[in-house]
Amino acid sequence: MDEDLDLITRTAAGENEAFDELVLKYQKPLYSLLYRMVSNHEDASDILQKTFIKAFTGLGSFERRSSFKTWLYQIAINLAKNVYRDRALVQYVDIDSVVIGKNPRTLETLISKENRLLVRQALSGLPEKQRITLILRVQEGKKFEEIAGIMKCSVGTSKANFHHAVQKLKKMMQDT
Amino acid sequence: MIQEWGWRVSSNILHREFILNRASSIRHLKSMTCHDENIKDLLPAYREQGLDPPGLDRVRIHLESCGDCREELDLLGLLAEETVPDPGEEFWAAMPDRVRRAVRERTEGKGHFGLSRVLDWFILPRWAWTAAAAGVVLLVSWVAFGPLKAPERTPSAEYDISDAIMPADTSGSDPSQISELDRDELDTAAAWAEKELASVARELEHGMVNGVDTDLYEELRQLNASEVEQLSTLVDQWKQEG
Repeated sequence: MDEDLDLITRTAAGENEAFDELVLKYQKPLYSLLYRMVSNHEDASDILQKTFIKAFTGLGSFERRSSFKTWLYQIAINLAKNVYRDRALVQYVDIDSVVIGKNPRTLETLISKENRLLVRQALSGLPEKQRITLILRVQEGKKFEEIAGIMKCSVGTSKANFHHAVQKLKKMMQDT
Repeated sequence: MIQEWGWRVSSNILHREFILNRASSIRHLKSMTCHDENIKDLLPAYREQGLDPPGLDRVRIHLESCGDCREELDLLGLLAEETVPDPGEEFWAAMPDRVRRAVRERTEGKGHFGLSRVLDWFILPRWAWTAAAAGVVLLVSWVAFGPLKAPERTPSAEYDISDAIMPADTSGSDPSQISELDRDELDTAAAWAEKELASVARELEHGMVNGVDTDLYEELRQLNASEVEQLSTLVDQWKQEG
């Protein structure tokens, strides 16, 4: 954490290479979260770049009350929300891409793809806060305390969002 | 060879059944709902193997008797298995440069109406686009059709018709202008004409009765002898009749 603050101070002093280090450090986890939120590489990489641009140009407004990492996640999630709202995230299994009969694992692949598709569709049907909380907790491995910081809510609220998301997801999966 | 084939087939069948069972356990089995929120809080950490030994034991014992939590654990597993494709080292290595270049372009282009700014507009929220579209429709409608009702021309008590409607010299006026008048304007014009004609009629009548403006001597001078004779006869008759 102190390392981040040091890099921020150096960036503010005009040392752009320091910001490069921050980009290299956080680009992979941020990309992972963004990809899960928008489900395609083009949007994820575009939002990732915009997140760093916004962070760089807005370093002056970073109050250092939360960690730089939490602040970056907040920027990325806010940018991704706008994109996600304008996208229909329905994706289909491309049956033609699966050559039935030749590959002994074809059926398994198909079932696996179908399950993933079901999960993805169910996930996209969740309310925004619950969906993001679930992604952060299960797919990104964040603790409830970190999620509370990123989502600007209490730990109790982040846990409640998580439980509601899981219950809804279970119900959606059972109904399909 | 046959043995190997047999092993592969049975292995595939077993694997297929495992996946089918796993999917159906989530989709079709409806276990009793568990309300132990403390255990449910620990499930993600249990899956990530991030619990201390007492916590681990507690969850393990609970799972042995709770179908609902086992389903939930399966679901968390499915979610966690969702992988993110790696865009490659080239992508990661290029990101700092991309960011720096974009920041530089933004700083240099500040105040200019550049392409990037135009492109930025495309990520405006939906309500902004809706409002802009509504504004354009209103503007086009107004330009195309104008105000629905023309401002009313209320005639004055004196029927003061402006030149635009009834020019003083109507000899060169275009009849199509009159055809373009609406009902109110036509009524006003008719009233004006009636008033004008009435005053002319009044003047004529006044002139005939009083002869104020008639050049009588000039007219008499133009009469021939028989007409003068006829006139004097008539005057004599009027005198006799009183």
